[in-house]
Amino acid sequence: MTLSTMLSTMAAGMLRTCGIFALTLIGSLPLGMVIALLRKSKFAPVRFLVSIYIAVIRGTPLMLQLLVWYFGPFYLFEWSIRGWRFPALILGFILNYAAYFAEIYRGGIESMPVGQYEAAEVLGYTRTQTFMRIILPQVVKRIMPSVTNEVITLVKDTSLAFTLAYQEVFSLAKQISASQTSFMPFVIAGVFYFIANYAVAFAMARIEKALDYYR
Amino acid sequence: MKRMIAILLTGSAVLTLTACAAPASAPAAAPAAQETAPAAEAPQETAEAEEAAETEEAAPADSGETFVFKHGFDLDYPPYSYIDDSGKVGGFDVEMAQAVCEYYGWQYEAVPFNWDAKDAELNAGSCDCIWSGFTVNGREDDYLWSKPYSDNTQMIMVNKNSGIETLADLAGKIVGVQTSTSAYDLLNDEEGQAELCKTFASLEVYETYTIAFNDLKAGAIDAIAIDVTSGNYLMSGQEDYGYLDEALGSEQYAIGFRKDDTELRDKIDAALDALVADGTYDTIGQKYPEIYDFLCLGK
Amino acid sequence: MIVEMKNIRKHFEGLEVLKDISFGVDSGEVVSIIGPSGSGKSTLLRCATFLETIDGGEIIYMGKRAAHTDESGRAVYVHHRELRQFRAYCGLVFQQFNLFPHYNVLQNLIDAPIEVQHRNRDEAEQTAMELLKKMGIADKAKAYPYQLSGGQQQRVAIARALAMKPEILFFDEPTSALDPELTGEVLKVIRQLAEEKMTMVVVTHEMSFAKAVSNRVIFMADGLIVEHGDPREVFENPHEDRTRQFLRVFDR
Repeated sequence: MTLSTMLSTMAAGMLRTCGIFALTLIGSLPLGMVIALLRKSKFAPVRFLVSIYIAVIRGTPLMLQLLVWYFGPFYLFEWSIRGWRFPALILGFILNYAAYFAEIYRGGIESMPVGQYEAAEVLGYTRTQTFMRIILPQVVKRIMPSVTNEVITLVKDTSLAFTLAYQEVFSLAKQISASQTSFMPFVIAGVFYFIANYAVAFAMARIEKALDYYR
Repeated sequence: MKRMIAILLTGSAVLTLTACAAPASAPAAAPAAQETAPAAEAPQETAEAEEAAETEEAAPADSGETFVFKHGFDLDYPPYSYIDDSGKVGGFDVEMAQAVCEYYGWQYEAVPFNWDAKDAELNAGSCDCIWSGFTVNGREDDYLWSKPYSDNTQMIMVNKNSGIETLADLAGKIVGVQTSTSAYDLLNDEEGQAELCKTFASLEVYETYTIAFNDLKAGAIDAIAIDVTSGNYLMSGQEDYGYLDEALGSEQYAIGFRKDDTELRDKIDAALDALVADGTYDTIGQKYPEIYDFLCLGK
Repeated sequence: MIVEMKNIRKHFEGLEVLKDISFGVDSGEVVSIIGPSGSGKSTLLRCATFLETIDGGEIIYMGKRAAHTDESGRAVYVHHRELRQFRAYCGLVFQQFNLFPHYNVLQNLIDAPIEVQHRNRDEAEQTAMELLKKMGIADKAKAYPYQLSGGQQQRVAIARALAMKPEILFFDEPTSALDPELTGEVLKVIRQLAEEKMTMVVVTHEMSFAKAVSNRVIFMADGLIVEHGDPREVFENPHEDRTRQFLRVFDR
């Protein structure tokens, strides 16, 4: 296999890796906020269920969760799982990362001084207005470093898609390495992950800088 | 507050749905499925269509609709199933499976899976068989088996200048093996070579043989326990390495089916006979010199 | 009467913080509340501005009842939608300013008028700029809170409260978090508002300020109003021992 064939074969895997990455973020960033808010719900059973969910997600390996989401429908309900591979993969990633983001959001929300809520209350803001206009913008700034960490972890975690035999860049690297008895695919994958993470770190630094106008 | 939650929930739901819709195109983009258009339509199939497909299995060739044969294999296992030089899915098993499909007029669908999840994939019906250099020995009762189509021997690969010449010379040496392979199983089997394994200084277990072979070249390990077919593939063009004369063990490869799938198994067996008779088996085999000598159908 | 508080009771986990407090404030009046820490002054302000709910008693704004005690002796508030209207009557200036750090000074002043009161942006900005001019910080309109001194921040906080056009403004120890050299600029602004007949209730430890600016002084201790009257009377000729004791500490 020539280097250019290897690169073009792996390029497809890189695209798929980027796809997992993007879909997971698009799904888990907002879902994490919903979960964080549900965790602070006034309704005790909701709080309880959400805390169980977070405990289970954080207490089990993502690889195992992916297997459960993919094979679960068949083993539990005997449903056909044809075509379910990719949805299960994305579902698993989103639900996993949403739990982690929810905890980051919760930490950020709880770190807000009570004076901000009181000032807003006295000025007559509704609870939704208080959250959207006063609390959330400040929380975003506070949690940015933790979110950056999590996003960089996600870039590397995408390789767990091999569990469901989804041919992202790392699975392909393994397979091509086996067929070509060469380390080159791993080097290519390594460079790809490094560049991807560099881009993520750069983008996040830009966002942090944009939020730097106040303290 | 409630309205906000509702908005966020709706947003997430839409995203989830979008994510669900996405796979329609995703598998088709996978190189594994490049030559199989039907993969793209798979998600739209209803449960009834699914059942219909299963009924077809009972009488694949007689049915009006085309039977889709879902070939389950590991892409990590050259030369049986792997990514070939052009970046496509290939290998002896893949070509044979495609030949069987051509023989019956079935539609071929490649289902590459994670080897550790092969049983779950088979039982859940995401593939119809495990056909990927799959060892019968030790698993006789776990699957419904086709005829064995290839012999295999587990050997010890060493550097020719290492001075290691017999299995007994391995005492106190470091030996490498790939996880979930028959060589690995053999070295851990009390009725196999577990006794010999105990004489090693250590047994290093690798994710892939590629890395083990690099360690052998670097002198980090003294020997590799490996299937002869995989070993031949690994050593091609490398003059300095060879096998010990004594074999570690021997076994046979066949195709594993779900235990109640006699109908399909018999169909495949019949097709294999036909492909041996018309020379296809031999023609495909010749493309893979490292395993050609071990092919055992019709001998 | 702008506000009337009648027989207010409030406790936190068994501790009686307010025991039967009653007082009222007329339009244009400045009332100072003094007293040792822990006497319930701040809690009283927080009850008056609806940050805390009372256990018993009555709160009346502009002749309308916001809360009262029912037959069973529990305090009952009006529906929370109506309560928003009552909130609009009063403003509160915090000890810790509590400005919104992600908004610049002008945004701090116009966000609530626009979002809560649905006022026209141009009008809100014009009002805000006038207030900033009055506070002597018009040049800081585009600055962020972290770029301001404590005294400037507190003046922004006062302007933010005034931008809502409240009937009455409460101050909770507005200078306690400030360096001594910065208290003057804040007190000057409050004095100026008093001259303009802004109705105000000020919880403070600045005795000379309370004496000079207020129409009335309330001395609180242990959740009770101990003495209540003309500032000169309370400061120079207190009737109660408790008041004398407290003032002695400040007179040294």
